[in-house]
Amino acid sequence: MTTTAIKNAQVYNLESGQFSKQTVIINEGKISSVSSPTELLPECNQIDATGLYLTPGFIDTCSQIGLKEIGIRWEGNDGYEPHEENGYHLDVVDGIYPFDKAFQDAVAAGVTAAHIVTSPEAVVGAKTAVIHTHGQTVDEMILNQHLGYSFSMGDVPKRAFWEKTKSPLTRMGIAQKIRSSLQVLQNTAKLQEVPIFIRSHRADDIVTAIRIAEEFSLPFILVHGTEYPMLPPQHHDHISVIAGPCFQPMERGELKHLDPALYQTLFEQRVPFTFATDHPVSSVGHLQMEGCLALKAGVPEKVIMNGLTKDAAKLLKIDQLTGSIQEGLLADLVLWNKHPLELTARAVRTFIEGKEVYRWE
Amino acid sequence: MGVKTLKVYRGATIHTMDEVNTVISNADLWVYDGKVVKVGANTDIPSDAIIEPINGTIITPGLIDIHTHVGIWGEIDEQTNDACEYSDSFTPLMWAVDGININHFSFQQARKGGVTTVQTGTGSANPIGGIWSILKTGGNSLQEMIITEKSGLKGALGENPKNVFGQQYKKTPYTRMAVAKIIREGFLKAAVLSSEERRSQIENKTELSPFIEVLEGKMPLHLHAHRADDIATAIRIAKEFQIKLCLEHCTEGHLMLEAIKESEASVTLGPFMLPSTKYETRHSTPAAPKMFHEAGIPFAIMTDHPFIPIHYLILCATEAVKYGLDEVAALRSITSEAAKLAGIDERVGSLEAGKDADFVIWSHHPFESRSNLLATFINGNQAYGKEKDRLCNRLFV
Repeated sequence: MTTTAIKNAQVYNLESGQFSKQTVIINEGKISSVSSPTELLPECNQIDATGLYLTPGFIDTCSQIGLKEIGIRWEGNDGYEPHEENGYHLDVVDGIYPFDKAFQDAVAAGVTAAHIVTSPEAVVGAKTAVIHTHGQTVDEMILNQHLGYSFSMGDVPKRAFWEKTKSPLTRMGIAQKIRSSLQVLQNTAKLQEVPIFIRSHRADDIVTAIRIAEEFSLPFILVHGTEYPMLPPQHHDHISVIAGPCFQPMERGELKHLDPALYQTLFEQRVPFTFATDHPVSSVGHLQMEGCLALKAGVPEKVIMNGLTKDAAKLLKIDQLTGSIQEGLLADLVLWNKHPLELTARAVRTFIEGKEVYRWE
Repeated sequence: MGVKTLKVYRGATIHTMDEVNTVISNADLWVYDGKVVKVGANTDIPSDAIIEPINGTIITPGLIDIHTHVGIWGEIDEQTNDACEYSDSFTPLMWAVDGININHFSFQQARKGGVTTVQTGTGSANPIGGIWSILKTGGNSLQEMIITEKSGLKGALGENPKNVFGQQYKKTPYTRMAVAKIIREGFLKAAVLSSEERRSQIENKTELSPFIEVLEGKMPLHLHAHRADDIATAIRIAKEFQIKLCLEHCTEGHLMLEAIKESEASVTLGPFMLPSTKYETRHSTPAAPKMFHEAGIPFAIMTDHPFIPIHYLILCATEAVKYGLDEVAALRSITSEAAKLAGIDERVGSLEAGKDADFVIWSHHPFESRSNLLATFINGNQAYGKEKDRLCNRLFV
């Protein structure tokens, strides 16, 4: 039995949103207890984390890490299959390369889990999965192998379709492709339980996505949501948003209105939201910075911290495994040298299932 | 032009970024006719001056981004992309001033991000691309905005020219050797001219004229170089012709600091916050500025806008701090040091009597997460910000 105690750290509490001094004991890869700093410790390895902050590992709720490797072009790009119109026959776990250098960036930035979604080129993308950001085979990294189905709207799939077929695809055509896929999927999967993710930036695409979801009486998760603030404030029961990334080049018309005020609007309108880098659109290393941008825009600290951890785990249906510092959950933990919502804060040590996977030397 | 009334911005903490990085708390910043007149604490303010109370805020000089494509890349509207003349690999006469649209929204973004001066122009497709310019990000006309009309001849080594010309257009250059040859060509031809011939070339604005101006030290050669071997090639070429070199990007520079220091080339670093989507940037690291600083090599941090949106220049400097760079050095790299490297430090980069009144008011120190930019001033005029009443209300909350 390997037991480790992290003591004297300022530990994040997701209920209060505060940090307070606690001792966290890790046993066999799981959190075995969270106790007061005065309690007597069993005989075990001890990490003195005086002056450091301890949080659950951050979770990137939309990423192409491992699927679209950094530093190389087509040879390492498995994010989009141009000849497969019904991408739901595909599985992202068959395309993930565990030695993509970006995984090192992830653990160095305190990101311990990521939701892998195919490239935005695919109107109907592959089945998505949630993985840990460290391992030698994707199988040992998997947290949720078949989370949901992903779809994509707007200029990116339009252009990809043109490049492939030299015939145009309209927004009407995209909507139709999504509808017909959902009709097929409805017969085979329990879509009420299997989430659907729709990438869209422009306000009209967002409205279309809502319309389609309502036709099928399905909850759905909007990915990006760049122009959400331009919609009239209206309560939609069944929407949550994987928002951003706000830190990215704004080279396309659809990104014209990209601004961290998005986070503030979602907060004000009580739309549940989480953060994403869509790596390599923004680097996985900048997930924490998305949180800082939200803070700058006026979102309360607790909403951001939970959006990066517990709420992200809930959205990805892995909250029974990870996402909070709680007895029985996996020891996916990060020690930070400063408050993690400081722009200059760095992950000092990162643990996945209790194993140290990064240490800042 | 600036307001012909003395205005005194009172109560902020001013990071002057002068030679010794003086910081003055509860300071007075005197501005008259577009210039800084005085910076100090408890100054004797003349009775006819207008006092602007901005207690509790932080003032820095306007930020300088010395490698961008502001106003010319035409991002979002690709129909207006005028950044690279793809028709030939050798286009020394492409002038930034002929391609810059001062109404492009990237200028607004710059002001919103506190960036008051940019160097902008051609991109990196061509081994010899064109001539860059340095300008303010606000003003009524291009002419009024220009600080340095011809701030250097821009070229590029490595993957980009190889990809655009060799791979896509099936033309030369296909190899790094051919890229270097094209860059050398103009200098070789210009170097053998008599002074009479040189004058005539310049008068006639021939393709050789920019090379002559570089050879005569009137402007530097800017070379885009990511990989260590490309950086070494840039240094080799500059040495051959005894010309002033600016190493642009310098991504693998941290692997060869000694050679760079010895070359005395000036260095711009960035955009190290992009994921390395290209093979040649795979060793990119935000720790590079720290390593350059420790090696004693002056550098400026840049965005390469639109690749990092220009309003995030401050975040680029902050990221370098996160990776160990000294805070003052980080701020210098986007103000006074950038001004020095670009040869415009007589006018901008620090807040001292006689310099342009380009400054930014922040709610907190700009490296803090909670910091918000409250106002940007160019030549003493407010170029971005909430109207004054709202500004003050916010400040006194």
